[in-house]
Amino acid sequence: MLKATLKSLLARKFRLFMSALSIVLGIAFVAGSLMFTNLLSRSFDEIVQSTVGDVNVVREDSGFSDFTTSVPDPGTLLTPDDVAEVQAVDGVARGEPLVTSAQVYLVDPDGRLVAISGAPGIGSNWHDTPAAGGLEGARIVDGRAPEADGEVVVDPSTVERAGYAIGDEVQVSTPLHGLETMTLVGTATYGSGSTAGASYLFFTLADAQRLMVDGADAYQGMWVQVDDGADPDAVAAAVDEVLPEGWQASTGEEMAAEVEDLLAVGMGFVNNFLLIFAAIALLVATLLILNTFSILVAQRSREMALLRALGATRKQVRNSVLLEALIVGVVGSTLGILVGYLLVWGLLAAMAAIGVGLGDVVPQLTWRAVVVSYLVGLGVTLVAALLPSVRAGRARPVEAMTETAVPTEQSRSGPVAMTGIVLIEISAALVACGVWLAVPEPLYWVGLGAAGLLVGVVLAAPLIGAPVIALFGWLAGKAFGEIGRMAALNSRRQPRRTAATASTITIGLTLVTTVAVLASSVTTSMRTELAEDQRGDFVVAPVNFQPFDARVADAAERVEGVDWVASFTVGAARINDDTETVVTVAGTTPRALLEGTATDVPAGTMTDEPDSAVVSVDFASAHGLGMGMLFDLHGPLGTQRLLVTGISDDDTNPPGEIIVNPEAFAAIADDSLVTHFVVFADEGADLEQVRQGLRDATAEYPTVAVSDVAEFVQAQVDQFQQLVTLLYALLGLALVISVLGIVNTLGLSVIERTREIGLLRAVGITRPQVRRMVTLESILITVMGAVLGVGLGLLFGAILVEVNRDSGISVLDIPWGQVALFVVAAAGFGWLAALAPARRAARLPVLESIAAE
Amino acid sequence: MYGSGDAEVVALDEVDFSIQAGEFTAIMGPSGSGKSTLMHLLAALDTPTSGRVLVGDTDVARLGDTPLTQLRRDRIGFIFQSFNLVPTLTARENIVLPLAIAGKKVDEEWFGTLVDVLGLGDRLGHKPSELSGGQQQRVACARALMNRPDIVFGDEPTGNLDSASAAEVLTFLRRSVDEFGQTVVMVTHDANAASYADRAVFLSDGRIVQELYEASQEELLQEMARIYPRPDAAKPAPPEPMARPKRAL
Repeated sequence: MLKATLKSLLARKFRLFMSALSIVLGIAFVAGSLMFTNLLSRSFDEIVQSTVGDVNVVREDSGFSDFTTSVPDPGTLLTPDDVAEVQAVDGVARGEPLVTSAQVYLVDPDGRLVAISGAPGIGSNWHDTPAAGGLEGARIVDGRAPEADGEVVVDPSTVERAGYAIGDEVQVSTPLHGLETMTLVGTATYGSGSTAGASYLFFTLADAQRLMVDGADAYQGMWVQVDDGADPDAVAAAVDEVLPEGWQASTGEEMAAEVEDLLAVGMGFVNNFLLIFAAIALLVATLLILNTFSILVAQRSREMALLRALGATRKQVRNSVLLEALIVGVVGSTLGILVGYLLVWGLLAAMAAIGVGLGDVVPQLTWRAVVVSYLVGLGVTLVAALLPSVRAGRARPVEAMTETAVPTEQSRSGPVAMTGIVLIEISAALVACGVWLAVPEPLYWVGLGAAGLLVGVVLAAPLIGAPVIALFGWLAGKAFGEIGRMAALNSRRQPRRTAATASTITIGLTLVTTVAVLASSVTTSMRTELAEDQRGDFVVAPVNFQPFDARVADAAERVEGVDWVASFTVGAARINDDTETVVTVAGTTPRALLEGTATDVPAGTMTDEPDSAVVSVDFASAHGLGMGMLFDLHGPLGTQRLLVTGISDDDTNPPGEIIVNPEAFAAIADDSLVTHFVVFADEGADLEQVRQGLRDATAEYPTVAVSDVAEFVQAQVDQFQQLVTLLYALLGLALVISVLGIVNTLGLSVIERTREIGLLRAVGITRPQVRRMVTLESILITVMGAVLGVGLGLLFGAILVEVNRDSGISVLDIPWGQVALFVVAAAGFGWLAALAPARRAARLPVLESIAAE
Repeated sequence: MYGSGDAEVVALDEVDFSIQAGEFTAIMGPSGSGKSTLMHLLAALDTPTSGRVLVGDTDVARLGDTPLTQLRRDRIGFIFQSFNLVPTLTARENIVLPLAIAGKKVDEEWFGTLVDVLGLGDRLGHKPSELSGGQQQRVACARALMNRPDIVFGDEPTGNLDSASAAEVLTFLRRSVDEFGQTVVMVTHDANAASYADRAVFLSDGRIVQELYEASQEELLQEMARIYPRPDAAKPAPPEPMARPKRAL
């Protein structure tokens, strides 16, 4: 019996090949998804972890993110003795003292700071101690590390923006010593090189101490590498023991967690998303394999019936089936894992080619990917192979033997499709609860519901895809006549097969459409909001948030093309007899308040009278102030009696609970420094020229940046774009599998319909018409998948926007053009997938086809 | 033009073989006698490796695949032994399929006539899987005649049918010749089926060995026994291949 099994296996090369191919494809998708998602999360982790050590010594009151913004008092720093003590702790392999500042910037040849507004310029002493978990910490990209005083190493993108080359004399802006001329000896970065906008400058320890702690032999922290095999938690506890008061030791893991929290990217969200994707990949693999085996069912049934007729017992037949499935399953799964592995490499290469690198992470054959792949590959194959044997066992041998290979018509519904419908209903309820009802953790409700919806739609696709097929089939009939009509009928004759084939496209497009809707909505919301918040054409603000000379604003007003300038000064004061509470007072003109900011003054207004004051609604109610009431404002320079003439709804723009006229402000505080100013250009002025004029006007103040609204929006959109690109890569994976899956299914369909095609050819269908018929069927399949996917994606996008309405996405903007493009692209992929099967169908010899079984 | 006179086909061992328009011809012979090959060549389903097949003035051997296909579509009708119908199409759609592919208008009167004669009136909306074997073959007959082809070929059209259904199909073919002037060629090894034909041609080893006109089933069976004896029986004189068959008409 074993011999018979193996013989039949080899004899049916085609069947073997097709079933193995379906397993390879399915498993490649599963393994590829698992490996790629693992790669993504590792890449994110490494980005964060490469910036912290195994154990980090930090001040208790300052988190990792809190870089010192002013000169620290040397008495509060670590001494060389402290450092030596930490280095002597058991388990410490290397303890590097740190001196850092967030106010060190590279200055470009024009004398301007190279910085993105709001992002820190981080300066520190150079060291290459490995990061947490043995990851590479800071590393030199080009050139060498700073070895002598007066040498500096900067991160590559900052150097590129400044236009310097290694070996140049460069200027560095420092918090204590102003501009310093140094030699650029190299470029360096942490781990993967993502800086999130910050610039990094590295100095020798002596230089760092001179520039950042005023030459004191003191340190602001330590970066500790533990001995091989030592437990970072234990070492951290031991280090903690020897630290002076006010200092603590945290493990890299704790620090990384803190950073990830700060990043607010919600790694959890990304991980969940990737897990859902992997789960769906599993489902698709299962469908793909079941699909192929079900196509080969008739052939197998006949063969098994023959064996039974010849006297094989039911058990023998079953064992032979299991053995065959086992062999095909093992071979297919193994190949599938390898193909998946190669796919991930291919994706990485493709992403690198379009400029979205993931750093130095390398795809790994993870245990999870391998085990899950084999489990799915073998399990599904065994089930898929056993179904026909059960059927063959039930039928009488002779009956089964005479059964023809004429493809049976499938019904649309069935237990699987009905399960899908039920799942859709439950999931829709979950989503509805999450969106409209006050349930705890609405995001979980929505997330669970969305995942369920996607799985449900994939399962129920034969039912809910039917109208799509009907519509596009009708269109095909209109456009291509009888051939189009027959293609539509063919795609409808086995709805379950069609749906399973289309499912990869559905899933891929669901993800991409969701992200496209989200991206477009976020962008539009941001633009809308900024258009509401941000007045004027340019904002001139210091990168380090330190107020700057008010004369710059006057100079800006004189720039050609500038209509007027709204400038804001901020100071601290006390009101009435309350000596405890310090209030922030902003000084600006009524016009600047009303036109230069988005702050609304719902009650009253601000007048040009020197004693006119606008107070925020919160402040007014906290201090019992009302319209028309008088109060005294005591500032460092004097006291001013003010009259409440207006109540504002916001105290952040300009940042002050009390807003007064410049004259009043000058009476109580120093008005020589402004926090920022907003520039309004003349109607029709050349904005580029104005920008250059403003840059010239602020040339003496290298820390002041001139930015416009569009730039700001673009910076935000760019960040989002990266996530979108990652998801496009996942779509790429889905598309490759999808096209190959369609080739497989169509190929089988063509074989299955050999006689039918022969008949059609005999009664007068030409070869090009056969080719067209197969191609149209393929396109119908992909378009159905695409329409379902796009529909779900639009729904998910809308839901996400709805759920995030509170966190800043206020507008639902559907990129219809893009969505239409997705469907058209899917049709293109359908055409591509049909090339080989259509060719094969057209080439079928008429006579042999008619005579075929 | 094909329809105006004789359809001349040169096939198999340099034997001239003509089919008269408006005649019902049965090609008979045991398995392997070459009768199916002959019919496939006649029906432009296949091209000869050597020699010529002329349909009217057209040399089939020289035609490319597409013109050949169009020739089949426009000038020839087919009835196969089984699997005659496209499973996704209804009976009506199957009948008008060659016309629909060619983008031609359906002659509703002719369609009505065929459906009436074949008794398919209440079956037109059914899919092949909902039809009996006999009904399926009758639908195939209607399709073969729908585009008023110059010639209709049947390849064992009754091979899979019970005797009652077979009689219906054969009667129809007979009527189509008598009433509509149709030309029909049928391959069969069944003397009963061949008895419906005007002319029976016997093939043996790729040669035409005998021809009978208006033969009864009895005569046909006797002739078959004579031409195709059991190999172990006493050998009669081998039949002389006929270089030039006589013609009665």
